[in-house]
Amino acid sequence: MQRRSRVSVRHMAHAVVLLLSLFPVMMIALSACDSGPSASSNAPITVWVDADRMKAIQEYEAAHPGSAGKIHAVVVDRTQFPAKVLLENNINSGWPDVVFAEPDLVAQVSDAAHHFPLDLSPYVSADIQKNFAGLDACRFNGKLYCLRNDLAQYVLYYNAPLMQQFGYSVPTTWEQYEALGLQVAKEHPGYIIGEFADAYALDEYFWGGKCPLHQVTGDTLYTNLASPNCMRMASLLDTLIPTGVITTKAGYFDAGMTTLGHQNKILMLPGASWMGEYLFKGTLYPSSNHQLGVAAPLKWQADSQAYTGALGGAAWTISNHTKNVKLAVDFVTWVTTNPTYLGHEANFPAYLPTADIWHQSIASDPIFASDPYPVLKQAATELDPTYSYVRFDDRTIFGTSVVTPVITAGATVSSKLSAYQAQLVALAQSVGYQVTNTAP
Amino acid sequence: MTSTTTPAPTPLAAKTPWLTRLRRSRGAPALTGMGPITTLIRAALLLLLGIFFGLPLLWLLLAPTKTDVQLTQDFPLSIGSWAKIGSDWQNLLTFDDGVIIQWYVNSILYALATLVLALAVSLPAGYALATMKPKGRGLLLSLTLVAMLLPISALVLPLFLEINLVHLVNTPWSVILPTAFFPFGVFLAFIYYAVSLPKDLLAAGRIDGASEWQLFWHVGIPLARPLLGLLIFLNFTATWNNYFLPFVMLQDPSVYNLPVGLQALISGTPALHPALVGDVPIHRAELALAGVIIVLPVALVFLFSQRFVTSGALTGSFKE
Amino acid sequence: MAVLEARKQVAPSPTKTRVKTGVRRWLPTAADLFVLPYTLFLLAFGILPGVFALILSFANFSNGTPQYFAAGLQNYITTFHDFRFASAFANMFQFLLISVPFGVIGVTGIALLLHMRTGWFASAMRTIYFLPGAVAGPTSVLIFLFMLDPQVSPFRGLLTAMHMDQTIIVIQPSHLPLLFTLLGFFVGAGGWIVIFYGGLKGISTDVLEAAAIDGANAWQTALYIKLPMIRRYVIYLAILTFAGNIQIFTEPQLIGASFAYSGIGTISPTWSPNELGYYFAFNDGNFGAAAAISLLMVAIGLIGALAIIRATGFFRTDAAV
Repeated sequence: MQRRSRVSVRHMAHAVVLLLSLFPVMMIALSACDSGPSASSNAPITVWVDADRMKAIQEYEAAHPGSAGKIHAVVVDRTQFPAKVLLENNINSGWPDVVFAEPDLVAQVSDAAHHFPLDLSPYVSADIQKNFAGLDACRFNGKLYCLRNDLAQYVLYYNAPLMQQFGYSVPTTWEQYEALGLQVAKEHPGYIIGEFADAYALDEYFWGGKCPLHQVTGDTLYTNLASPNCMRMASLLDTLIPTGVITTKAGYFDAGMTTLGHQNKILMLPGASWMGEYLFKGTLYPSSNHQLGVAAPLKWQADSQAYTGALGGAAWTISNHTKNVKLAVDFVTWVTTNPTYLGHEANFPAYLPTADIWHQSIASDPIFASDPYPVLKQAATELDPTYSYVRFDDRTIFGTSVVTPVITAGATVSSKLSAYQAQLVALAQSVGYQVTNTAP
Repeated sequence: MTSTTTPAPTPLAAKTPWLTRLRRSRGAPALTGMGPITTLIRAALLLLLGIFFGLPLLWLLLAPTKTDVQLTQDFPLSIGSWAKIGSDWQNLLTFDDGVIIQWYVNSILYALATLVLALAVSLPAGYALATMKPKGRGLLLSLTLVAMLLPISALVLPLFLEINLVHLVNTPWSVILPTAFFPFGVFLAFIYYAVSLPKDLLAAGRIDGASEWQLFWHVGIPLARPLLGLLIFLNFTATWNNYFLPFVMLQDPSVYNLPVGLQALISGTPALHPALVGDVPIHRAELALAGVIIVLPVALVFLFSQRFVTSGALTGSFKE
Repeated sequence: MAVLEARKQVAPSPTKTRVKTGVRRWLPTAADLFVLPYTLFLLAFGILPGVFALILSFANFSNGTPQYFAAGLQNYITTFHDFRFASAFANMFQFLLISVPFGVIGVTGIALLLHMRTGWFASAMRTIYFLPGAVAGPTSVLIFLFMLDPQVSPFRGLLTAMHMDQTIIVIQPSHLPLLFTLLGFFVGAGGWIVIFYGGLKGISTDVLEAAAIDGANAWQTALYIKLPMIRRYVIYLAILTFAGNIQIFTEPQLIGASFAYSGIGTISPTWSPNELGYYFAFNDGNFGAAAAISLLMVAIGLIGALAIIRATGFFRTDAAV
């Protein structure tokens, strides 16, 4: 009974009929989810943290015996936090009360689809708010959607003994940086003063160079990579990259950078505040020979004030669904300001009175040529307030549209900025921003 | 496949009990037709492939012995210190009172429960679809093929809402039940039975008064040894490595499986995100050790199941 | 799917079925009971979510939760007009073009090569080939991060010989289809090699010995005797590879995200259509557009799978016993 056979249209028709007949079932299922949150001053709260933040909860509970057992800590991959919120919105339950996350994640969950964060303005006193640096990152449309945990402001790291040996003075402006770069290329080829080998170059040079990447007011996003600061920065890079002083061979976290460090070839490197302790120390530089100098972030000569960018820096946000606002707010305020907890944490605390106490943890670290704290604190207050955290990833497209062609095809940065701009605009529009190139 | 003439099942097949046929060992062909040059080329090719597949694993095995700086600065296949493995393990355990052990146990439980359920559901279905005439047979098979093509990004919200409807979110069942739906296995079983089970054998059994259930149990299952081996390792590997569904369904660390737990644990450490710094002692070496530990059960299941698979009894499929 | 057809056609003709019809209509047969549990699972975890996805593709998700049928065809239009749509499909087709032949020929070739002589060497190699399939998730990411970095990779000799001395150069966009093919092969080939090897061991030794006596060398035996005998499995592999690879998601997603964390951004998070769907769902909260693009993928997968089945006559002889 051998038979030639083929796919039957009839079966497909059956399938369609069956699928359609399932409609009523679906509709019942859909209408079933409904419930409303109700407030209770005694309700326990769920806090989403990373592994490192578990101890924050333990310390809070130790300091507040009344709260013992009321905080449920859950370790999650916080990059998936917006995805989880979307799922929870669809079952109308299961939201965490407090989440440890970066401001760009907070931006993502503050749109209409996620509708997650609680406006903290009524709950956090103006006194406390004004003592925070970098709190602009938490403000969305006049609402305060998070409190900063730590800051990762850019500063200029340099090799103090080498600079002295070469007879160079540390630049304070991008113009001086460019001139010194050309001098280094001529006098001491092989030494580097920066890197353009990873997408963090976006933050390092363009955010740090006050290029208007994205500034959000209401639903309008202003971006203009054709503006003078961006073009000047691109031409600086195009001048220095071919000389090799800004390396395209090794990004911050590449093995190649470690090798450069071991060969003592890193003369200068713009980097985030935590890099002194967690990248230079022991990895790029020996840990205890007072080599690492920390200088203020660079500014344009014409600008009266320095502005800086950041690589990292997190925050805490609270759900507007929480049933215990009091406990959630109290915990978040404590965890972002408390000196006994933050005083010995890894990163620069955003709450400046606490940062002053944190100071002691690095003041006498033998990696530094001198106490870096004054520079770090000053830079913390110079984070560009016109830079808004947005609901899309501007960095990966910088990698694909600028860094990759520069490295693999020898393209110039200037020639790629408009391609980057186009992608940024398309991406911004796809997540619902109205895009303009006119400054607000 | 020129419109094949299929040999009629030999009377022998009907007479010889299947089990003995299956167990009869099939040694290597005595004559391989391989000259010295062929032998050499073959060995060289296989070794090259061995490097392609094996070198990354060897690197993984050695990684826990090295520090972070050694990992990037030393020769890739150098050995650090074996004692470091112990401290890596201690570091993994420091996290939340060794919750990683709980994840391990969860993973094993979920994988085994899914496996048993998936086999119990898929095998009879594939068997019946191939050898009997259940109602809606064509429809079932068509839908199975369609289901295999559905991407998880489309299914995940519906599944999540469905599981929530029956209040199973954040329970082991939310992971076990959807993964026990194993259309790939049904299809494989169906094809396997369709081509390798002599229908005369079943017909003879029916005449002798055996019930369908008895036939399945005494003929279908024993014949399916290689199929079983295949299904076991495919299903176990898939469940063991499952990240996305458990990630969506599970909300509490006490019910996480290993992939979800590990992802949560390492996502906040510099192991994979060099820009995140902190005091948690989880670095790339610890992650590598966790990786080695995850691989072990799958390797065991593989070694166990490949005995079945390569027992040389996919015979029927090749009678042409 | 065609076997079923063959069988279906059997049912109405013989008279015996007609006799039983009256009873059969109401009483489930043993066969029905055998497939009942699976039918329930299929309904609950395949069809129901699938239908739901279809419904969602017409739903509006502007506030994150579905407003049913409010979108009409808007989700489909959004998807087609998305600025990432064309590049995602272009990437996927390039990947398919490389990965399907590579996977099918690679697996078949390796299995035949292994089977030329059985013994400890073959089984040791087979085990090595399989083991990468056991490495998953964060661990595989760790492995790839190191393997693809010419400065720390065990393959660095090879990579530098090909003038790739930087990760960004290794994973530059034009390399990605081949790279994902290799990664997929690394993880997935072993399982299939074992399946094929099992199949090859089922070939009667008489046939092989006869060939050898006739003077066929090992290559000829592999090509002209063994290969035709496992032809059906090769087609099955081709179908599944095609259907699976069309959904490429894991490799670009995991690798892309992990490299992005160290600032190496060459892989877009919407590199493949499935990733674009995921992005619609979990970044934009537009589960409707995600469903739309997913259903489009199902359609393509179905058409492709059926085309292969038709072209190869995969099921043609299955029913013949």
